[in-house]
Amino acid sequence: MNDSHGTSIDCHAAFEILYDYLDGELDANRTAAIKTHLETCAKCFSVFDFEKTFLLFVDIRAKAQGAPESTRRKLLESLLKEKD
Amino acid sequence: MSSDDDKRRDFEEVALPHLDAVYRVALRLSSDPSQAEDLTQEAMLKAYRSWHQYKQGTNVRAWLITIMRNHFINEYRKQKKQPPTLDIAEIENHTVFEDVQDVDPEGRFFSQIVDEEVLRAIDSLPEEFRETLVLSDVESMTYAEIAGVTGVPVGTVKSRLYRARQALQRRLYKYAVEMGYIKGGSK
Repeated sequence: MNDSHGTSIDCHAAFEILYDYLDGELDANRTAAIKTHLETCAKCFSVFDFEKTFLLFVDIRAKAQGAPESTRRKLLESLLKEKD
Repeated sequence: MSSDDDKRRDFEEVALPHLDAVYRVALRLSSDPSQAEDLTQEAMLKAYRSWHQYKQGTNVRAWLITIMRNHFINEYRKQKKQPPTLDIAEIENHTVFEDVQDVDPEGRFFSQIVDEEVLRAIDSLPEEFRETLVLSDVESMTYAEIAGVTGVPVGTVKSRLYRARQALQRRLYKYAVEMGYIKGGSK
Protein backbone atom coordinates (compact mmCIF):
# COMPACT_ATOMS: atom_id res chain seq x y z
CA MET A 1 0.00 0.00 0.00
CA ASN A 2 2.66 2.42 -1.04
CA ASP A 3 0.12 4.91 -2.30
CA SER A 4 -1.30 5.32 1.18
CA HIS A 5 1.95 6.92 2.35
CA GLY A 6 1.85 9.68 -0.27
CA THR A 7 -0.51 12.53 -0.75
CA SER A 8 -3.11 10.52 -2.69
CA ILE A 9 -4.91 7.23 -2.12
CA ASP A 10 -7.35 5.32 -4.32
CA CYS A 11 -10.69 3.74 -3.34
CA HIS A 12 -9.28 0.22 -3.05
CA ALA A 13 -6.45 1.33 -0.77
CA ALA A 14 -8.87 3.43 1.28
CA PHE A 15 -11.18 0.46 1.80
CA GLU A 16 -8.23 -1.72 2.86
CA ILE A 17 -7.52 0.56 5.81
CA LEU A 18 -11.10 1.58 6.52
CA TYR A 19 -11.21 0.08 10.01
CA ASP A 20 -7.63 1.13 10.85
CA TYR A 21 -8.74 4.68 10.15
CA LEU A 22 -12.02 4.48 12.09
CA ASP A 23 -10.20 2.83 15.01
CA GLY A 24 -7.63 5.64 15.13
CA GLU A 25 -4.76 3.23 14.37
CA LEU A 26 -3.17 5.08 11.44
CA ASP A 27 -0.18 7.41 11.58
CA ALA A 28 -0.62 11.10 10.74
CA ASN A 29 0.38 10.72 7.07
CA ARG A 30 -2.06 7.95 6.29
CA THR A 31 -4.82 9.63 8.31
CA ALA A 32 -4.33 12.78 6.24
CA ALA A 33 -4.36 10.76 3.00
CA ILE A 34 -7.67 9.10 3.93
CA LYS A 35 -9.21 12.43 4.96
CA THR A 36 -8.21 13.99 1.65
CA HIS A 37 -9.67 11.05 -0.27
CA LEU A 38 -12.94 11.19 1.67
CA GLU A 39 -13.33 14.88 0.90
CA THR A 40 -13.48 14.15 -2.81
CA CYS A 41 -14.94 10.63 -3.11
CA ALA A 42 -18.69 10.43 -2.48
CA LYS A 43 -18.78 6.60 -2.62
CA CYS A 44 -16.03 6.08 -0.05
CA PHE A 45 -17.47 8.82 2.13
CA SER A 46 -20.78 6.94 2.23
CA VAL A 47 -19.11 3.60 3.03
CA PHE A 48 -17.00 5.12 5.82
CA ASP A 49 -20.01 6.96 7.22
CA PHE A 50 -22.06 3.74 7.25
CA GLU A 51 -19.30 1.79 9.05
CA LYS A 52 -18.83 4.62 11.55
CA THR A 53 -22.57 4.56 12.29
CA PHE A 54 -22.43 0.80 12.80
CA LEU A 55 -19.50 0.99 15.24
CA LEU A 56 -21.14 3.76 17.23
CA PHE A 57 -24.36 1.76 17.35
CA VAL A 58 -22.59 -1.38 18.70
CA ASP A 59 -20.73 0.68 21.29
CA ILE A 60 -23.89 2.36 22.62
CA ARG A 61 -26.05 -0.78 22.58
CA ALA A 62 -23.51 -3.12 24.18
CA LYS A 63 -22.13 -0.63 26.71
CA ALA A 64 -25.52 0.07 28.26
CA GLN A 65 -24.96 -2.81 30.65
CA GLY A 66 -22.72 -2.43 33.70
CA ALA A 67 -21.94 -4.63 36.68
CA PRO A 68 -24.94 -5.21 39.00
CA GLU A 69 -24.79 -3.28 42.28
CA SER A 70 -24.61 -6.61 44.12
CA THR A 71 -21.26 -7.38 42.43
CA ARG A 72 -19.77 -4.11 43.63
CA ARG A 73 -21.13 -4.57 47.15
CA LYS A 74 -19.91 -8.17 47.46
CA LEU A 75 -16.49 -7.20 46.20
CA LEU A 76 -16.16 -4.35 48.69
CA GLU A 77 -17.20 -6.71 51.50
CA SER A 78 -14.63 -9.29 50.34
CA LEU A 79 -11.88 -6.67 50.21
CA LEU A 80 -12.56 -5.74 53.84
CA LYS A 81 -11.99 -9.36 54.85
CA GLU A 82 -8.70 -9.64 52.93
CA LYS A 83 -5.44 -9.50 54.90
CA ASP A 84 -1.88 -9.33 53.59
CA MET B 1 -3.68 3.71 58.93
CA SER B 2 -2.43 0.13 58.24
CA SER B 3 -0.82 -1.11 55.02
CA ASP B 4 -4.00 -3.15 54.42
CA ASP B 5 -6.00 0.09 54.43
CA ASP B 6 -3.54 1.75 52.04
CA LYS B 7 -3.63 -1.17 49.66
CA ARG B 8 -7.41 -1.37 49.74
CA ARG B 9 -7.81 2.37 49.21
CA ASP B 10 -5.35 2.30 46.31
CA PHE B 11 -7.12 -0.68 44.72
CA GLU B 12 -10.52 0.95 45.11
CA GLU B 13 -9.29 4.19 43.53
CA VAL B 14 -7.36 2.65 40.63
CA ALA B 15 -9.00 -0.71 39.84
CA LEU B 16 -12.61 -0.44 40.94
CA PRO B 17 -13.62 2.16 38.31
CA HIS B 18 -13.06 -0.63 35.75
CA LEU B 19 -15.48 -3.07 37.36
CA ASP B 20 -18.17 -2.41 34.71
CA ALA B 21 -15.70 -3.11 31.88
CA VAL B 22 -14.50 -6.34 33.52
CA TYR B 23 -18.11 -7.46 34.05
CA ARG B 24 -19.17 -6.62 30.47
CA VAL B 25 -16.33 -8.67 28.98
CA ALA B 26 -17.02 -11.49 31.49
CA LEU B 27 -20.67 -11.49 30.46
CA ARG B 28 -19.88 -11.74 26.78
CA LEU B 29 -17.33 -14.51 27.38
CA SER B 30 -19.63 -16.59 29.59
CA SER B 31 -23.03 -15.56 28.12
CA ASP B 32 -24.44 -16.09 31.61
CA PRO B 33 -25.16 -13.19 34.03
CA SER B 34 -24.75 -15.31 37.17
CA GLN B 35 -21.47 -16.79 35.97
CA ALA B 36 -20.28 -13.35 34.87
CA GLU B 37 -20.89 -12.01 38.40
CA ASP B 38 -18.89 -14.86 39.95
CA LEU B 39 -16.17 -14.53 37.35
CA THR B 40 -15.87 -10.79 37.91
CA GLN B 41 -15.84 -11.16 41.68
CA GLU B 42 -13.18 -13.89 41.63
CA ALA B 43 -11.01 -12.09 39.08
CA MET B 44 -11.11 -8.81 41.02
CA LEU B 45 -10.12 -10.62 44.21
CA LYS B 46 -7.24 -12.32 42.37
CA ALA B 47 -6.18 -8.89 41.12
CA TYR B 48 -6.32 -7.49 44.66
CA ARG B 49 -4.16 -10.33 45.99
CA SER B 50 -1.68 -9.69 43.16
CA TRP B 51 -1.87 -5.90 43.46
CA HIS B 52 1.86 -5.70 44.24
CA GLN B 53 2.53 -7.08 40.74
CA TYR B 54 0.61 -4.30 39.00
CA LYS B 55 3.00 -1.67 37.64
CA GLN B 56 1.63 1.77 38.54
CA GLY B 57 0.89 3.90 35.51
CA THR B 58 0.40 0.97 33.11
CA ASN B 59 -2.98 0.03 31.65
CA VAL B 60 -4.91 -1.25 34.66
CA ARG B 61 -8.04 -2.08 32.68
CA ALA B 62 -6.10 -4.35 30.31
CA TRP B 63 -4.39 -5.96 33.34
CA LEU B 64 -7.73 -6.67 35.05
CA ILE B 65 -9.34 -8.01 31.88
CA THR B 66 -6.33 -10.27 31.28
CA ILE B 67 -6.71 -11.74 34.79
CA MET B 68 -10.44 -12.25 34.27
CA ARG B 69 -9.94 -13.81 30.80
CA ASN B 70 -7.30 -16.26 32.05
CA HIS B 71 -9.53 -17.19 34.99
CA PHE B 72 -12.42 -17.79 32.57
CA ILE B 73 -10.26 -20.07 30.38
CA ASN B 74 -8.98 -22.05 33.38
CA GLU B 75 -12.19 -22.39 35.38
CA TYR B 76 -15.27 -21.56 33.36
CA ARG B 77 -14.84 -22.27 29.66
CA LYS B 78 -15.64 -26.00 29.99
CA GLN B 79 -18.96 -25.16 31.68
CA LYS B 80 -20.13 -22.90 28.87
CA LYS B 81 -23.56 -24.05 27.84
CA GLN B 82 -24.14 -22.64 24.39
CA PRO B 83 -21.81 -23.16 21.44
CA PRO B 84 -21.51 -20.29 18.94
CA THR B 85 -24.19 -20.40 16.25
CA LEU B 86 -22.71 -18.04 13.71
CA ASP B 87 -20.33 -19.54 11.17
CA ILE B 88 -17.59 -16.96 10.78
CA ALA B 89 -16.10 -18.75 7.77
CA GLU B 90 -19.11 -17.84 5.70
CA ILE B 91 -18.61 -14.14 5.26
CA GLU B 92 -20.36 -13.12 2.10
CA ASN B 93 -18.39 -11.61 -0.72
CA HIS B 94 -20.31 -8.34 -0.60
CA THR B 95 -20.81 -5.97 2.29
CA VAL B 96 -24.05 -4.98 3.98
CA PHE B 97 -23.47 -1.45 2.70
CA GLU B 98 -23.76 -2.75 -0.86
CA ASP B 99 -27.16 -4.22 0.04
CA VAL B 100 -28.53 -1.08 1.67
CA GLN B 101 -26.86 1.72 -0.30
CA ASP B 102 -29.99 2.43 -2.36
CA VAL B 103 -32.52 2.28 0.48
CA ASP B 104 -30.66 3.30 3.66
CA PRO B 105 -27.02 4.31 3.00
CA GLU B 106 -26.78 6.01 6.39
CA GLY B 107 -27.61 2.82 8.28
CA ARG B 108 -30.63 4.31 10.06
CA PHE B 109 -32.13 0.81 10.38
CA PHE B 110 -29.53 -0.03 13.05
CA SER B 111 -31.20 2.35 15.50
CA GLN B 112 -34.38 0.24 15.47
CA ILE B 113 -32.59 -2.87 16.71
CA VAL B 114 -32.89 -3.28 20.48
CA ASP B 115 -29.99 -3.90 22.91
CA GLU B 116 -30.96 -7.52 23.56
CA GLU B 117 -30.80 -8.46 19.90
CA VAL B 118 -27.37 -6.85 19.53
CA LEU B 119 -26.06 -8.76 22.55
CA ARG B 120 -27.59 -12.01 21.24
CA ALA B 121 -25.86 -11.42 17.91
CA ILE B 122 -22.51 -10.76 19.62
CA ASP B 123 -22.94 -13.91 21.72
CA SER B 124 -23.48 -15.97 18.57
CA LEU B 125 -19.93 -15.22 17.37
CA PRO B 126 -17.20 -17.81 18.05
CA GLU B 127 -15.30 -16.95 21.24
CA GLU B 128 -12.06 -15.57 19.75
CA PHE B 129 -14.02 -13.26 17.43
CA ARG B 130 -16.47 -12.26 20.13
CA GLU B 131 -13.81 -11.27 22.64
CA THR B 132 -11.85 -9.30 20.02
CA LEU B 133 -14.96 -7.38 18.99
CA VAL B 134 -16.00 -6.64 22.56
CA LEU B 135 -12.53 -5.46 23.60
CA SER B 136 -12.37 -3.15 20.58
CA ASP B 137 -15.90 -1.96 19.93
CA VAL B 138 -17.33 -1.94 23.44
CA GLU B 139 -14.25 -1.35 25.59
CA SER B 140 -12.39 0.82 23.04
CA MET B 141 -9.05 -0.96 23.42
CA THR B 142 -6.32 -0.47 20.79
CA TYR B 143 -5.15 -3.30 18.53
CA ALA B 144 -1.92 -3.54 20.55
CA GLU B 145 -3.82 -3.71 23.86
CA ILE B 146 -6.10 -6.46 22.50
CA ALA B 147 -3.05 -8.36 21.24
CA GLY B 148 -1.58 -8.10 24.75
CA VAL B 149 -4.74 -9.39 26.43
CA THR B 150 -5.45 -12.23 23.98
CA GLY B 151 -1.84 -13.25 23.28
CA VAL B 152 -2.02 -13.10 19.48
CA PRO B 153 -0.24 -10.84 16.94
CA VAL B 154 -1.78 -7.49 15.96
CA GLY B 155 -2.38 -8.85 12.43
CA THR B 156 -4.57 -11.60 13.89
CA VAL B 157 -6.48 -9.04 15.97
CA LYS B 158 -7.19 -6.99 12.82
CA SER B 159 -8.28 -10.02 10.84
CA ARG B 160 -10.57 -11.26 13.63
CA LEU B 161 -12.03 -7.80 14.10
CA TYR B 162 -12.80 -7.38 10.40
CA ARG B 163 -14.51 -10.76 10.17
CA ALA B 164 -16.39 -10.33 13.46
CA ARG B 165 -17.72 -6.92 12.40
CA GLN B 166 -18.80 -8.15 8.98
CA ALA B 167 -20.50 -11.22 10.47
CA LEU B 168 -22.26 -9.18 13.16
CA GLN B 169 -23.37 -6.57 10.63
CA ARG B 170 -24.72 -9.26 8.30
CA ARG B 171 -26.65 -10.95 11.09
CA LEU B 172 -28.19 -7.70 12.32
CA TYR B 173 -29.10 -6.72 8.76
CA LYS B 174 -30.88 -10.06 8.22
CA TYR B 175 -32.72 -9.53 11.51
CA ALA B 176 -33.75 -6.01 10.45
CA VAL B 177 -35.07 -7.37 7.12
CA GLU B 178 -37.04 -10.11 8.94
CA MET B 179 -38.53 -7.54 11.31
CA GLY B 180 -39.46 -5.25 8.43
CA TYR B 181 -37.16 -2.41 9.57
CA ILE B 182 -35.63 -2.33 6.09
CA LYS B 183 -36.41 -3.79 2.69
CA GLY B 184 -34.16 -6.69 1.67
CA GLY B 185 -31.52 -5.96 -0.98
CA SER B 186 -31.40 -7.56 -4.41
CA LYS B 187 -28.04 -9.31 -3.84
